[in-house]
Amino acid sequence: MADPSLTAPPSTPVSPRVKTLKCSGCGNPLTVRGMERTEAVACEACGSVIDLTDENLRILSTFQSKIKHKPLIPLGSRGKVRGDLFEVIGYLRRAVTVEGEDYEWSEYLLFNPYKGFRWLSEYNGHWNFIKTTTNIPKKKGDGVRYLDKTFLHFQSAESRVTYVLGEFYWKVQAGETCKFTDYIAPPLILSKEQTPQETDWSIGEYIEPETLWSAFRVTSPMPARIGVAPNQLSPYSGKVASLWKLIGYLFLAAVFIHLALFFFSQNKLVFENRFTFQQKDKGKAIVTEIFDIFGRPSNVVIKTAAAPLDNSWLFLNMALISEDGRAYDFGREISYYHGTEDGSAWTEGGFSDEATLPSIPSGRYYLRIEPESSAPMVNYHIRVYRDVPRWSFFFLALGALCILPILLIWRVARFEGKRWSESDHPGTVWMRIPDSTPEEEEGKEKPKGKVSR
Amino acid sequence: MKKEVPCPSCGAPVVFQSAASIMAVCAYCSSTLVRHDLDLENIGKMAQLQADGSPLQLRAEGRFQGESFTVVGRIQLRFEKGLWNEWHLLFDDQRSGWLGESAGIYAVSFLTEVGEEIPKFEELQAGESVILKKESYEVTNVEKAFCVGGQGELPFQIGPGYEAPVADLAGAGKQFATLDYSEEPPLVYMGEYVEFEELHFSGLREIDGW
Repeated sequence: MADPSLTAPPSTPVSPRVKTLKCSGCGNPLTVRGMERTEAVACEACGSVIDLTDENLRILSTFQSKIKHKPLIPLGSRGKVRGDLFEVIGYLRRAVTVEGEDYEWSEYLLFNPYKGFRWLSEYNGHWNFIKTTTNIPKKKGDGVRYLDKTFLHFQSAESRVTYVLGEFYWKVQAGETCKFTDYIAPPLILSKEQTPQETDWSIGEYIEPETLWSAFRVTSPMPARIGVAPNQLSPYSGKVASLWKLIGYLFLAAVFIHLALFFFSQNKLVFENRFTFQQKDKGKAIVTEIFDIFGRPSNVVIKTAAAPLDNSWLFLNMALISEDGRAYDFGREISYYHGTEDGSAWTEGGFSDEATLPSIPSGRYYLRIEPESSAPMVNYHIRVYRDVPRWSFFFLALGALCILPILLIWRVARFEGKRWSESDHPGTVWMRIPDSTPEEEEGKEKPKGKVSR
Repeated sequence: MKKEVPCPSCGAPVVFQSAASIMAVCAYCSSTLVRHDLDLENIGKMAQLQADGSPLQLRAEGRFQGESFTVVGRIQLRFEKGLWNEWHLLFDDQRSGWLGESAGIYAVSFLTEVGEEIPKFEELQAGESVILKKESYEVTNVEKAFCVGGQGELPFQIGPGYEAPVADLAGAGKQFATLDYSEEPPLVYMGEYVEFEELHFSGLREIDGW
């Protein structure tokens, strides 16, 4: 500070620098990189946490951990994250216990003398770059509004510090606990941390480990990512809309192809005749006259109408036979039943039938018909059409087009299911698909009473 | 406006850049000097400030919302969470402002008259709302800070060790306010949180290795 001697220039700043001191616990040399802002430093050798604001460097607490954790990004590493240079000065591990199971993650404290502190967190190979927020998110339902986005409630739990290394801007204690609530709007995560003294909000952004590995020139292997992080951006986000667009185009193409087929189809009546069945003809086959079928191999549709049918049936055992002996056998039944049951009338069946024979080459054909019926006498009318446009192909195409969105919906659901599986809301995926698109600002808030909670 | 007077204790020149400054700490001998109409009263040595690693220093220059300022004074406060500096800014139009600074968090504020009645310090609680200039602010911190000391020139008299009951409030967006209960009625400072680069500083301290 100000030098009392007259010769010194006014307020010569002592340039803040890295300090070294000895651990009060074991004498191991300690480096203090956070300059005068560090309040506590944890010794790597003995696990003592030393109070730097105390003249005698008293020991705040001692971490007795059987396992020595090694930060993946070593303390003292410097790297540029989101445009600003930061140095890793502290490392700690926190744990939560959910339904009897412990989950532990790592936190790295980053420091820049001008920009202050930031955090990197790592869990299951997923990383977040975290900054304390200066303004307070607004509550909305069980979520919050911040940066014009709605953040959904993800998890509320209590964490405890299980391991520390390096230095911190508060007097970190072994086992110190903190209530936290996480809200997500991928790739962002808002965390509210509450201690009896204060409430702090921080905002984290999902960051690719590759970015950090190259920024801090990390040499240790990158841990593989396991599962889905709460605020990991869905690989399908943004793609869903373009896929729907593609499906739209394919649908239009299907309509166009169908219309073209419809337009170019012959849809031509090639044979027509009326017949009468009588019980005396039972077992006898009828052969029609020969008719011509033209054009490319295409379908042939045989339409049959029968009357009268009154609680009776007509069965036609038919074959389309070409002059050179190729036969396409098919049997059709037309039946009509009606009656009343419990006071209400019912009917079943009808008076007509349609049979399609696919891919019939051109040529001269005739029909062989062997009728049978439960009625004493039935009239029936047969018409043969060549190259009839079929709706079924169109519907098949539509069905195929539906597979894509179903697949997409399924994959989105699977990804979101994984995301929410570790939240307080597992299995409520459909209600909670995060939407990262900015929403319309709601109506201006009315000023509240002078003091309200 | 700028006035230079010799320090009654050591004779070194003491500069009052702002006409509003009534107190200055001699940069050479740390005497705390209070400006009266014609002379300077020496009220004793100012306590040494604690090293806090701040990149700011007296005479640093910057800009806030397009207006240039010079850092002319400083009050260092100790909060539960650590040290906090209130840097006294003198804008080119002779207006006084304050830059609150701690560990990379920066907030610029100005003494503001508000129509509303300010709740009593004892009644304030973190999380509750207070209306200032018809806008809602949420109390983020209520604390009796402790004044470590001062530096440069200040628009009021401070003494090391005095308690400053203060409350920090956050409004919509970046809005920020401080209620200072050292005076009755309490003083209201209103402004906003700013990012370091938005202040376009020059003349900062050199920091080893950065």
